[in-house]
Amino acid sequence: MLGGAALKGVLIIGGGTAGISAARTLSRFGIQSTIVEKAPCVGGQANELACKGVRECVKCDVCLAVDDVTYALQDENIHFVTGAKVELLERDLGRYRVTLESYPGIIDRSKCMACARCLDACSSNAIGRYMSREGPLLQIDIDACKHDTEGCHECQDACEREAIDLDQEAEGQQVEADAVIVATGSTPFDPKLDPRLGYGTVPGVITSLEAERFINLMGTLPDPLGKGVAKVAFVQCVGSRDPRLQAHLCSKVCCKYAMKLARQAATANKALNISFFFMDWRPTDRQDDLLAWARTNDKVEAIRSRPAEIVLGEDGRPTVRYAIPDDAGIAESGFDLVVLSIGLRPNSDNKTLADMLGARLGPHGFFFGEGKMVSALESKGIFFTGACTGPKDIEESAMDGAAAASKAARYLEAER
Amino acid sequence: MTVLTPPTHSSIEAPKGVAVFICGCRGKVSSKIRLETLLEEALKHPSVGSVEIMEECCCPEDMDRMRLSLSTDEVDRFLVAGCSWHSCRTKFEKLAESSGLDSSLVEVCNIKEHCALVHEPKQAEEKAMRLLKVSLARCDSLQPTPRLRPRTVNRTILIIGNGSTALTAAREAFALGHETMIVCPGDELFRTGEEGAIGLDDANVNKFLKDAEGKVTLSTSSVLRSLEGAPGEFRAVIDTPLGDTEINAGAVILAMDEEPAENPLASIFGDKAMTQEELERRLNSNSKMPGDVVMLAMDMKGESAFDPMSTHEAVHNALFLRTLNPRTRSTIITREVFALGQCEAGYRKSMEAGTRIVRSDGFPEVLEDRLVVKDPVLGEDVAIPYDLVVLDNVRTLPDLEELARAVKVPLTAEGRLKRPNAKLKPSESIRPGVFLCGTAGERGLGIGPTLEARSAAALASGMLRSDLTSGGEVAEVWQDLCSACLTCVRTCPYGAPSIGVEGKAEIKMDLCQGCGVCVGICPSKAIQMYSFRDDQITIQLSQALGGRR
Amino acid sequence: MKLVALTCSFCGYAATDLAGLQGMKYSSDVTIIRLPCTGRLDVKHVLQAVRMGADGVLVVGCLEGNCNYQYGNLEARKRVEQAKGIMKEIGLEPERVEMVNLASNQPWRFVQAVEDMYVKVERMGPSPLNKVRR
Repeated sequence: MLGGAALKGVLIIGGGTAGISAARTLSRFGIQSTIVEKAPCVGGQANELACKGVRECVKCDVCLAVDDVTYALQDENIHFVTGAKVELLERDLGRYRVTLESYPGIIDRSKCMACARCLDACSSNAIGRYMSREGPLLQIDIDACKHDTEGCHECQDACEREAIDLDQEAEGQQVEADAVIVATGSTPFDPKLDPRLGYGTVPGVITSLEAERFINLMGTLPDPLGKGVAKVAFVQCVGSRDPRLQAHLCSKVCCKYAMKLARQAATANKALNISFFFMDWRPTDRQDDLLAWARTNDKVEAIRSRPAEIVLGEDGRPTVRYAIPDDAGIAESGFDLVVLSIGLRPNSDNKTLADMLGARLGPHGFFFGEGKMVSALESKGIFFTGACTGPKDIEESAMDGAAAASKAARYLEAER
Repeated sequence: MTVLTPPTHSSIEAPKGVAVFICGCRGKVSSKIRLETLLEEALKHPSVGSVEIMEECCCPEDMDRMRLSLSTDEVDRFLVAGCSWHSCRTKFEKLAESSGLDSSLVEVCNIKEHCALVHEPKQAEEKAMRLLKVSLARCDSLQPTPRLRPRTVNRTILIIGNGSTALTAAREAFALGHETMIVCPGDELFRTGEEGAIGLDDANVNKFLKDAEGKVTLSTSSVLRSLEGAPGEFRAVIDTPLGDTEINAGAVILAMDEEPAENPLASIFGDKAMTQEELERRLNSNSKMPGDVVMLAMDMKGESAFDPMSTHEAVHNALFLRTLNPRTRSTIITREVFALGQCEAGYRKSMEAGTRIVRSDGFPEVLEDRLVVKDPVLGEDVAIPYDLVVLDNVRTLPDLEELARAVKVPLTAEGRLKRPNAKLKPSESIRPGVFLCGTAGERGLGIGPTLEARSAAALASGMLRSDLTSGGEVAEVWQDLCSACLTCVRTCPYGAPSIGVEGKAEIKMDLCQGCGVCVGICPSKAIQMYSFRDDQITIQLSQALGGRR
Repeated sequence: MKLVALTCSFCGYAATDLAGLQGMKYSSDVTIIRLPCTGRLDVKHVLQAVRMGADGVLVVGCLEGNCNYQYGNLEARKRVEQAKGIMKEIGLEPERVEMVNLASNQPWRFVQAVEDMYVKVERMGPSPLNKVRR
């Protein structure tokens, strides 16, 4: 743990790709760091993602993030506090005193089999399912849980292995640090917020994240209707570039991952028909030119249109209704599987964290990564990095983490 | 390079004694496998000196117990049967060092991930026995490997670059306390990319160089000829206008940018055309602008470039135009609006201010005063009048072949500096100590060159501050067997083998990274690799398959 | 049944670890031997394994283009093909040797490869060399 008088240490809030990269870079500088992660395991969103290669690597960078975690876990300069939240952050004589709070006893890890019965039983969506190297882990978010306020114990009743004990006390922990790196990342968009997409109501409509999770386990796209997948649609810009949802930004990552997912599926199944619904094609990888792919492959269709809605067709399949480009008409097209390419949204607790740090959020709910606002905080040893400053892919997050670590190292050297 | 232990393959000594530690991994292993059975099996092995069962080898208490057991003279190596080589190797290598043993004489036998966690108890135990035999055989055959460490670590960072990315990298490296030298092939640094906003004119560059008090030097019209050595002690030969000079550096950053070039579309529009860069300059100097400005963000074929920078320039200049003179009508003709991430906000703002976006699947028909575009969304022809056509700032890839050859890093088919593989850090190259950034690299399109440069400088600085001891598992030529057929020279990805003065192949230890690709392909079987010699692999196979030879 | 998997130290080995950590099931007849990179593989090693009685040999490397040493896995594939050729010439089923490319987070692909090999060997029967010498 930090706080040794001789050691200069950095507190990193968030153990995703950027946080891990920052910690590893700091370690190379000989600087100790403590990563606080609210999930029960480190790795962040990349843990849920799948490699998109078949025999050839397509540079989706997921293994970069996964391997980084493996190395970080062995690094003696990096300490981890998982399943914990930052409750209080005080600055005193140039150092930060940080109070962390966790509830380690609520779910007994030795009993829990991650069957997710509690997750289904919880009516307030307070239980999160996280993917770790050892498989899925469940955790209860105490802030959302209604046990303290309403005496709810749905999850405890649902658990057949008696792994849940909601009466466990919180465990406080104090950490001292000389600088703070904020790397809290972003949250995947919840498509239930846009009912027209039919997510959760129309069978066969899944999110890209669900597709990735399934690929991680089974190696193929899922077949939720159970009739075989011959025709799949990828719907881009779900939760991005959408003023209706106050989601103005482009999420930057969706074109890249959707194209790579589609190519993986096409390699596995040569007969698969793939349709893309998109507005502008914005890959962050030169290889991923959808329009060129669609020109050379008659199984691939690129439709420049944002679907108006996704409904249950008469044949029981999800049907996409969209305005036909080049025409004024409306078309309907049925699919066996519709993958919603969900974007990256700012975390809901960014505001709380910003208040704690004395920071201001940008107009889109993300932290500022650069500029005047930030330099004032940077001079006090608070740095922002990764997707909490705006959507970023794995490669960029890793680079940003390294750059933030270098800023923090410079700050510590100047303080010394 | 200092070689810390002399490397000779002829001196494979019989082990003095092997200490075996069997780890229960807090029940994860011991609940499936009876560790006593493994203990008995290990004791049967002739070279084994001691066997102990541990609760959890990687916890500090057990580490201390292990250190105690290793402090005897009877033992020169140890084997841990527990979890994966991947997750605990570093810890055990450190343990070996702190116990006065050679860290290359450590073997890990994976009875957790490969046995206890995947198989039923009976099968797991059978397999664990088999793996233990394999590992014991391997442990016996281990030999000390050479360790390489720079004599002194040179903290200078050498940057090869032609544009603003090089300058950003130099700024960052200087801020991190490194002396820095920029080697620029052209006669000045190009103003490219994001740095343009700050201004990279002569005055600015000179001010930075002056502020850096000689700690940052810029050598223009200079070309890197060769790069020898390893992290911490590179020797670079640089061809400067004053003749060849040798420079010592600890790390190298390749910060090559795409170079500004003339947009081929300029000839179509003659004096009615200008680039975004020129437009920006005019706007900054408050020049009068015509009423109809068309931005043509595409090439001859009508393809829009996947270049977030061009889009950024177009939407912002269009907005700027409207702010200066609300009567200006600005239109962007493009196939794709490449407004990645936060740039979308700028795009939206520009649209709200009245910038018109017209999509086109193909190059527009050019008439005297208007462009005719077939709009794919409306499906109709749209005529757009123009007084001025603004073209993208075109950037071309410089010829990097010579540089790539000198540094021994590969290029992509397109001629960009290749990202080695997804697993290395984004700023690393295949050669340790050489880092990549700049728009001439194969980076993600969403990543700004400034970030890349800062990340590369951070990693280079971090590397120079960490322990640079390397090596160990490297390949070595047994010269009496070598027939100088050049197979290894041609196969090695790192250019480590060469034909020496005696007409036999030799492998530069500081370039070898220990993949063993030359070992497997050598027709004379003249190359062997530390820790993965042929006899080591053979004996492992033999033990795995029931002891047959 | 005797199966051998020669894995590289990077994706190959990491995938076998992950298969364990995630509690996947595969035949316990397979013994995993670690190489630095599949490029270290020699045709000789494959043939040795077969001579020593292996019923199946798997070579497990990184995805093409993601080799930690650039193209060691492509070299390995060539050598595996060469070994297959030799096996065919001497009257053994070349299918007893296979090369798999996978990423570190694709443990299912390793499990699948082992299963495929298991099924194949079950169909072909034990290696003739195994029968004669036993």
